[in-house]
Amino acid sequence: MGWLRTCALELARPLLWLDVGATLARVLVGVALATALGWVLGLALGRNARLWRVAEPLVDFLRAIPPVLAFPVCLVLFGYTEQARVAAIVFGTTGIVLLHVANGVARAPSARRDTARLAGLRGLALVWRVDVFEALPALFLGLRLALTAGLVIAVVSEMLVGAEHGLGARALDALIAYRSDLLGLVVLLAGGTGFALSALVAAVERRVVHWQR
Amino acid sequence: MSSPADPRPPAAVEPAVELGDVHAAPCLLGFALRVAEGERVALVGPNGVGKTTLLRLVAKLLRPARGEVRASDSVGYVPQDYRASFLPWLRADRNVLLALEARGALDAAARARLDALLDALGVDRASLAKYPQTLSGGQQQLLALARALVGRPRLLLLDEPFSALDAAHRALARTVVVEASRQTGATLLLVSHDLEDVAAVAERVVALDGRPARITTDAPTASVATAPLARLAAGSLEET
Repeated sequence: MGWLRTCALELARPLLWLDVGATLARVLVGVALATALGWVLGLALGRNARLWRVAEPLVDFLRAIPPVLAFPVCLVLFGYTEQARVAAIVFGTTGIVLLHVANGVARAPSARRDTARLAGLRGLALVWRVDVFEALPALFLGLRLALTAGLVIAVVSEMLVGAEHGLGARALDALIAYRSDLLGLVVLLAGGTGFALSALVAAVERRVVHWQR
Repeated sequence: MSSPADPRPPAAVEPAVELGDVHAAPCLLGFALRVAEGERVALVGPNGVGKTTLLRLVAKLLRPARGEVRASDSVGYVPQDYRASFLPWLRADRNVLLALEARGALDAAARARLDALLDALGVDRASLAKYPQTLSGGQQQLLALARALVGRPRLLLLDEPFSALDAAHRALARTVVVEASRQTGATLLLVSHDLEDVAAVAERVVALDGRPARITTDAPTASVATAPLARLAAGSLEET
């Protein structure tokens, strides 16, 4: 009961919600940029088998680098700024989106593209009217995974280098102060944030990708 | 090289479709075929002989490894896997009118033509407002036919276009296809294993057999009796 009371008290204060907001903002900005980048690159690579064969080893290599290791590099590049945290999230999640989009487009039934080509669609019109839609189911799957990975990177980056706000920073404070009750609450909030993001994407996916139901 | 001794049409007539020394492994090696403008030709033969590959070459969906394919770019195509050919994120009407919309030719006349086509094919207009994947196989095949015909293409490539239709719709669809070809002068290549379809639609039968495919028979449909036609479809008749 004591822990529940602590939770209620902490949740009534604005500090923890500022932490949730700060972490959420970093994740959303980072993953949004990664999604835009991964979508465009995934479409280009998924439709060009030769290009994909050339790019795949590089994509795999970059994906194999732990984003936590990339964060210090981002600090060197961007300094102790928000951009460094966001850049680490972009680095760690672009490959996830890219890989899913490229696979989704490459594995789409060729008959649909044939129909569009026979209808006279070419170039960007073909990409916009067909490939973008073919990529959507895979994009949403990649997005859900990217949000989870983005949350991990955001929290770790907040723990590594002092952030004023963020769930990682609050967890570290709780650890240093031997506040296991607060630490437990932060863990629950991080889990809840990830769960809510995933549920939101799943709900949007059900509406947008209606033909997969 | 597998063309018959007397390829049709005569060389002096400019063909609507011409394949010369076409290589598209593994089924077509050095294949040749000429089809005259406005001609309705059925391609028959056993499974895997290369009939669908031939249509895809003519539609320019496949590029031959060697040889030349000459055909109009104005193509109406009903693929064998018609179910997979619809864009599932578009409603049926937008699927059917996709080519006209892409060309900026979607006007009142085109919509009226579609209405007339749907009436002739016996398609319920309500199905146009639905997504294709929610329709039955037969309804989808009728819409695939409407999609191929509504743009009044110069070339109709129909790969087993009546396979999912009941007897009544099949009869309607055969009539619509023949009429469309007659009215617009469109050249028609039909792939079918159904000999009634062949007899009702085509005026010339080209039978393929072997691997690589060779033309075993090339004759007017009327000159091929029903029993030999059945053997043609199975690819077992050498020459008529």
